[in-house]
Amino acid sequence: MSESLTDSELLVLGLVSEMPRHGYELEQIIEQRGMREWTQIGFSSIYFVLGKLEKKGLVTAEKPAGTKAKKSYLMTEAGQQALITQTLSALTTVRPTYSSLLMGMIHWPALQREQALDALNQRNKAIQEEITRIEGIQLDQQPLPDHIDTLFDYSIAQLKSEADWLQKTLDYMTCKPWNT
Amino acid sequence: MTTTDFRDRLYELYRPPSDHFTFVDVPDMQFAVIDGDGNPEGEVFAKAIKWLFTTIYPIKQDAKKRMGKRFAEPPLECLWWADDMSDLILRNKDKLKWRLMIVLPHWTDDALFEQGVETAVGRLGEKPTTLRREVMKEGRSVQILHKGPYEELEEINTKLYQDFLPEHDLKPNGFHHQIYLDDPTRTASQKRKTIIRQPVI
Repeated sequence: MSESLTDSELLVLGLVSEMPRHGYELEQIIEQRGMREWTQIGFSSIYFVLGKLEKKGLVTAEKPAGTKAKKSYLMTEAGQQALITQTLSALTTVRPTYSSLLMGMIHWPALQREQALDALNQRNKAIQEEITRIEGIQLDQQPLPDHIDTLFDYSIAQLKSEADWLQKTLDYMTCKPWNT
Repeated sequence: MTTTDFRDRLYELYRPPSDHFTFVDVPDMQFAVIDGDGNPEGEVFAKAIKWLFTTIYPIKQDAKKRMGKRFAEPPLECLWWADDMSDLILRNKDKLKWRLMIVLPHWTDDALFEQGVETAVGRLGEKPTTLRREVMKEGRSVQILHKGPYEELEEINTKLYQDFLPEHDLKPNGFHHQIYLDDPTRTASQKRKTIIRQPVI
């Protein structure tokens, strides 16, 4: 039974599954695709992650002939199986994420009216900026395969839905009589 | 056009068989194009690709909205030629001339295309002088799908130009056309699918 992989391991395994690659090449791709933005992969830890994958038998290093040639990492049969299992589990598992908004709204009465409304307005502004930023990344990263394009659509749709909620809540909270 | 017709048409144009050459009647289609010359492994070529994909982005978003599940990602295509055609056959990469292209929806007009150009200018700077919208008329063509490294295309070209065309009493009637169905930065060379198309008469 395959043990579960960390997100970093799964991402590196996924990159090796596309085609055999050496460490430096993996660094470059992670940089180009902006993967550091949403993962824990640090610059120094690529070889650490590769080492762990190698130990688990999911990738194997191949050193081509020639003294200067770099080690190239290939996915093994076990790696292929692990990739499939992990991807299926990632797609099917619903893992709730809790926004700091939860704590903020629960303790709303602790604030003065203006303070509270201001804070929500600031959040609204931050959400709008985040939408613009992610839309910019999506554009800059073109061409993206459609399954990744839809992932950007997903993030943007979530933010837009929060923006809608914010607007409605702001309208309501602004109009309602305040308990002092 | 029903969805089925549409898919059949797409398959006819963009998923030909790989075991033999087939004939296809290519309808007039419009493309976003950029012309250039020189080594396709160089920076100019890569930049032109970036420009095309950024330019078509708003057009693609619009198409997705209109077409819903009928939408399909348009692939990168390229026409190849050289002043001395032997450079093309011998792959003297520095002597090559190319026209990179991505197909546009038939309803794309100046206004929509201009919106795409403006978007790209906003992200990438000064517009390449040859970036434009152009209608291609290929008509009757021979094509084949190749799965494997780009280097192997040469072998297919030899079969096409030295065997198939003369055997069928055909002559090239337009540019040598390649369609890249996979992104080479994400697909291993053995898995890359490329269509070779040659308009004939």
